[in-house]
Amino acid sequence: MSDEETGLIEKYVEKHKIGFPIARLGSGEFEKAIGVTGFPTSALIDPRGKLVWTGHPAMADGKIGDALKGSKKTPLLPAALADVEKLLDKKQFGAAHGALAQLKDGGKLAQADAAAAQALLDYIEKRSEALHRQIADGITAEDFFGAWRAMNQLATGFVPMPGATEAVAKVEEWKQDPAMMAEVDAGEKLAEAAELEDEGEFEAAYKIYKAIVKKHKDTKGAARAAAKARELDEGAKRKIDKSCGECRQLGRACVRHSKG
Amino acid sequence: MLSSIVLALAAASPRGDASELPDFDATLWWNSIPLTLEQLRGRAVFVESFRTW
Repeated sequence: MSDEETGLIEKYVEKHKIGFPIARLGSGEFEKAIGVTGFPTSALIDPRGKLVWTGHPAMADGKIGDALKGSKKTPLLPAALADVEKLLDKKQFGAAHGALAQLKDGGKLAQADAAAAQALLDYIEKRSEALHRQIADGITAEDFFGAWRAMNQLATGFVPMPGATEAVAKVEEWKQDPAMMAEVDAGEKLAEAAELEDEGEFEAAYKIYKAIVKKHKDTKGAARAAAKARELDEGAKRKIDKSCGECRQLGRACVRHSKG
Repeated sequence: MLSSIVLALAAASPRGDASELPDFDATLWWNSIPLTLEQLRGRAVFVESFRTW
């Protein structure tokens, strides 16, 4: 959990391929209550909802191991929504949306269950809208890999919601188009190389950029990769030796390493 | 998705000086439906507070 701007957290989740739940906090109340004084800080809350431990995540291992012995996977949703929980577990958001709408329209849900159903409907709709936006933004920015990923998520998890069936058709259309699939593949490799650059692995990133140019020439991805490779060359970055203090200080390869 | 919730790891042994907590004041969730501590009752919850910088 973090209280930072949505965009920053979004990028962080994407970059580190985080698959577990991340929450954006609205205020500092919860962090204050668990005793956060620096980052990162972890906390363990017991099955009764009480705080039992707070500390640095590196110190959490033993505590979690003990805790796992008595693990109980209780339902997260009210009993009336048990079938919906199963669909959500299988990432069948479209089917869950349909089931929730049916339950709600049936008028037989207790007030609290109806409120939970509405919150879930809102959540699924927002998630679907976000994926539609990612597709549109990806295409505009020529991030075809990003668009492809969002399109596939819509196609596999959100049918029959509005736009999801179109996503299924679009996925098939792109699959039949070698030029588009080349862009997607180049985009995936570009993302991989960008990640390596972030980690200071410039030479490895450079090799990937060069491979994209070779494999997917005449694609927009190859043009980007060529520009990135040029940047690394001209900025004398690709030969940076991470263990060299001078390279690190300069942000480019020092005289000694630029010759290597 | 719900099965991937590692926030809710296990049942833990309660400590004597345990204190009551306010609920998550979350405005947005990734990789999960919106959750409350009440929904996680019966499970132990492991949370990590972080910043992207």
